[in-house]
Amino acid sequence: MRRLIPCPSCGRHVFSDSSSCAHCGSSDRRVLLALAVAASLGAACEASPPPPVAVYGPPMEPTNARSATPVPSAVPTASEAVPPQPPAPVYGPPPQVSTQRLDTSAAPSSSAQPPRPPPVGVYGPAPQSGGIKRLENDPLK
Amino acid sequence: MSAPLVDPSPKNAGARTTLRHVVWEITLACDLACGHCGSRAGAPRDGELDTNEALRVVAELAEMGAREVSLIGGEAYLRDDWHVIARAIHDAGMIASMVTGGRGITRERAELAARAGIDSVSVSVDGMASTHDLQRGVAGSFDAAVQAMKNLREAGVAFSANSQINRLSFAHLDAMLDLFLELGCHAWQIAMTVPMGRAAEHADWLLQPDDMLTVFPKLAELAERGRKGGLRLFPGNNVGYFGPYEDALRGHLSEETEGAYFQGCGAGVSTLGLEADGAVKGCPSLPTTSYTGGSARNASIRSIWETSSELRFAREPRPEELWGYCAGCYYKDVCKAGCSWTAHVFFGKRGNNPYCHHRALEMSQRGLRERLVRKTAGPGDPFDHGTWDIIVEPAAPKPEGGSPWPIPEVDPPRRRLRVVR
Repeated sequence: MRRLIPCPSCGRHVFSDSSSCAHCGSSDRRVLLALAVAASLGAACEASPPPPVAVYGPPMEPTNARSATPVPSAVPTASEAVPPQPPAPVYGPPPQVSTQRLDTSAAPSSSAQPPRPPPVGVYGPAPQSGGIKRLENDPLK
Repeated sequence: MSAPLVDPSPKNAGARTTLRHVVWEITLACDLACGHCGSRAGAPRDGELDTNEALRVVAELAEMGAREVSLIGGEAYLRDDWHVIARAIHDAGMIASMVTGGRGITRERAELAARAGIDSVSVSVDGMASTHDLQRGVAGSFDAAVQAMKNLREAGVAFSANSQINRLSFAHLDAMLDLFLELGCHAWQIAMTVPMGRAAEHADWLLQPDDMLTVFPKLAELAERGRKGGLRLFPGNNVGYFGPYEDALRGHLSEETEGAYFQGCGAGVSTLGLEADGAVKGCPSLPTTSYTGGSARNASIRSIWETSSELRFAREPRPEELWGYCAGCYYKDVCKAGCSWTAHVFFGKRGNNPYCHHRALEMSQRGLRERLVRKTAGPGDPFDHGTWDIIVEPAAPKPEGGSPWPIPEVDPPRRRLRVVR
């Protein structure tokens, strides 16, 4: 599959086999270099399998090192030769969460619990009847 | 039954059809009355899976290699066994997450979520107080959502936010980010409001295609500001595509996906949706009638995932399906008209997506804009939709400063809901 890279001039994605940016028309040295590097890396990896998808584990650390301004200045690196998929999980844990699971065997100690906040009840009764009923053989009982 | 579409062996672990994320509506019961709710949630569905059936589903998903299972509703905690299902997901080695309106995330439920091993809870917030309450249909629901985040924080459960982007919420986005940073959200998922279910009855809430010209610079700014504060802004599947901010929004979410960009609808490719009665779809948002591949109650989810035509549409190139602007787009081979759900609920079929920044920019360069006009309303069923016309017309100049469109009058809802169950 042809890959896309952001044009160093206008920030919009361009196919790596282009000779200039399809959007801003730029063909300055940076654009040509970026396209050439991307094209050569793309060709080298054409026969490679798609990138493995991380199925297990928490999302990776977010990228903080690079500015997210729309006009990047760097040419693609080898690691960018195959376009990665954006991460799918959007509701998952933050990356700083340890992969160790919470110890659920011990109930929180009563001394550690701060006083309960007043009920959030300005809009009517909270749904106390649903969702906290204990089941038979409830493993969390 | 046809041959499997997916080679399930480990050597094929990198194939495009690797199931990563399951979004599971475990009940349609809800304690909110959101004006944009696509599933028109409120009462439980007929024949929702019982506990044993749900636990069997968890085992199947684990066996299929799913990475994360997000429990949604309705309101997931209105099922008595929500924490039992969450615990089973956790024990099976998958990430257990939950999406909630937060109205009933009391301290007790937050602690229960922690004990159940829930890795993260995403709380829905669609604006600051009056705007959120208007959209959510219950006065005080904003305060409840904020309290839910505080309760989760106290209980040690990681939490994030998710928001609808529409004409009501847009003006509040900066204040919302400030709030989320202050509360300690680790992420913020955003999605455009589209006219499914009750949202189709609020056409004045919806963005118009040329509003993308205003929305995307703001989203890129929020992403950068969030990143500096330790919060990742996740653009939903219908936020796109390929304008000058694609790299800012999708290119830097993680080291693993550095340089990523949108590569087409993920329904049935990496994502699976389950409805509370066991219906299996490629994406939880897709209309039930057209996109249900089978029922987890009477067939294996793997067989549905691998063989049903309703789930496989996004797995192969489908140039014949594209129409309208998307058929001639520069990015058509990669983008494939973006979010299938968005296109389908506007036009009754996939292949032409009006919510696109690149498209709006190209139109603008030609002095044009597109405008969506509702032709027919939906029948009033869960996941229903009406039909819309798209009109191309000369672009009108946007006013300098302030809101680019009239903000609908916002009054706190007077309605008080009977709590389900």
